[in-house]
Amino acid sequence: MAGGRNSSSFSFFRRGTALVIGLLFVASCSSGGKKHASAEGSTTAPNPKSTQQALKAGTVWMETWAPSAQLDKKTKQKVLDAAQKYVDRAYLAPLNTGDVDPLYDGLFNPQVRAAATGADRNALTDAVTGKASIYAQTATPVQLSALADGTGNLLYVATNFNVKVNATFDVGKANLAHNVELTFARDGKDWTIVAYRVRTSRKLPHAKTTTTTAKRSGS
Amino acid sequence: MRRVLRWLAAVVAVLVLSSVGLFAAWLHGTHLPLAQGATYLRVTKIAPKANADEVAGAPTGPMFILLVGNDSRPGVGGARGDALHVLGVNPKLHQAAMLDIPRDTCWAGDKINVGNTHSPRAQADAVGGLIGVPLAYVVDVDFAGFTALVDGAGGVEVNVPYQMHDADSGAYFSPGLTHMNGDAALRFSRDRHDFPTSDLVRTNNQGRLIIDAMRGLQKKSQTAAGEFHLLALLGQHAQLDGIGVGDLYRLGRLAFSLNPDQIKNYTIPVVNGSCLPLGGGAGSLFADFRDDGVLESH
Repeated sequence: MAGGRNSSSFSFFRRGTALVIGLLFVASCSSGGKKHASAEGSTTAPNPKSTQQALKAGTVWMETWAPSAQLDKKTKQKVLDAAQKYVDRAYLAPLNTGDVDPLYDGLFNPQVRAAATGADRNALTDAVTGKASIYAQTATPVQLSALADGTGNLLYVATNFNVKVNATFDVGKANLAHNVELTFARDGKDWTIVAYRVRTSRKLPHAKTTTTTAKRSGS
Repeated sequence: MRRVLRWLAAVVAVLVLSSVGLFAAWLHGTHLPLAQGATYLRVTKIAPKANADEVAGAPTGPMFILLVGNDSRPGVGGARGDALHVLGVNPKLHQAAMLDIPRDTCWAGDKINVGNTHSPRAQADAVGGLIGVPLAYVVDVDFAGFTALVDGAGGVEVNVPYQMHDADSGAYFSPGLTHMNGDAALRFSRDRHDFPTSDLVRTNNQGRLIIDAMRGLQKKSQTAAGEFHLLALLGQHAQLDGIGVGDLYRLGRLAFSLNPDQIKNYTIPVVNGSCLPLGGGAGSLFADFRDDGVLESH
């Protein structure tokens, strides 16, 4: 009986191991290395009671006319980190401090920087909301689209995700929703934003819901 | 042992199915419905720098692009520029205008379309000289390329302006919005026998089709992924001369920032003849176009 019990345990262990290995294989294959650790944390100090959700990679879509090309893990993480910085500096910093992060401008390529800090600032940031007493921020997985040239060299990586914030201000509660598409290009060691499409809806205390959009590219 | 084998078989089956699914998805993402690797159009950068007034490579001043449909096809060589259109783009205003040049317009003692038989650059020199604008790029496509590209883009919705019934070109269309595949779009573009002014109406119809195609491509490029797909299509099937994919991306984004409904499509005035001299008003039309790439007084 003991041997049988041992055999049964061993069999169970083997089955479990095989299952785990199989699932790991399938997971790694089916995602094509798409999953990765969450992006770096916020660059601003949040209210301790507030909650934030770091961006995580979702599906990856590659367009190329090379025989093969892929978005390597390192680049994917760099782009994801850059998108996270955008969320931190444009959306969370105003809730934490009352204004966008001073480093917000640096996220953008010179082609679009003037518009991002000028005409499109209201759609791109939550600077208008002011400091929140507490908030909860969530985000959808980031859909990544990449374009590589005929040699497989990565040219652009676009991120598409939604960010929602439920916030409480001194004057009442607010709901903020952002549909964000940021297109990044390599700029030295960094990836900077060369184009964007954003749609922002805000339901601020004692006000009707307003929606603003901004679409800009380096031309 | 059997259980282990069964597990292994199940794992392998799942792996194979996953791989097949992934491969199919990958194919779906990168497959372009055109002959693999065939070159269907040629994009030539004419000016050393498209525009001196640039910010980090993006044009900000008026820019002029020559679009050429050449008549090269089996049995017909030479690649004359039978469809000639100059797109003026003003990036600051996000506006554009198109001048349609009849193929038989006189230039330097000959028909202007002869330029393309030498090279796209020679065609650009001729058209640029006629209008008095510096052309930044030439996009040149032949019959087969035009047909394949329209098919590759999923066809084009053309607002047919009038009844067309022409046996020579095979254009049989009723007025109204019509979905055309590559072959139908070519027939629409070639019809001239339906109209008393022949090529003058035809060239205007070609301009109309270009703007309608731009409208359709805009709808298909509402996301970065859509833009990347079109760029991959271009990259696979365009011969790029002096221009990189980054330039194409910026040009594409520039084109997609325009409202096609606001693009004026204007055929230049010419006088009758076998080699058509410029008609009255051509000078003021060109001046209106030349200063900022758009038409304010026409």
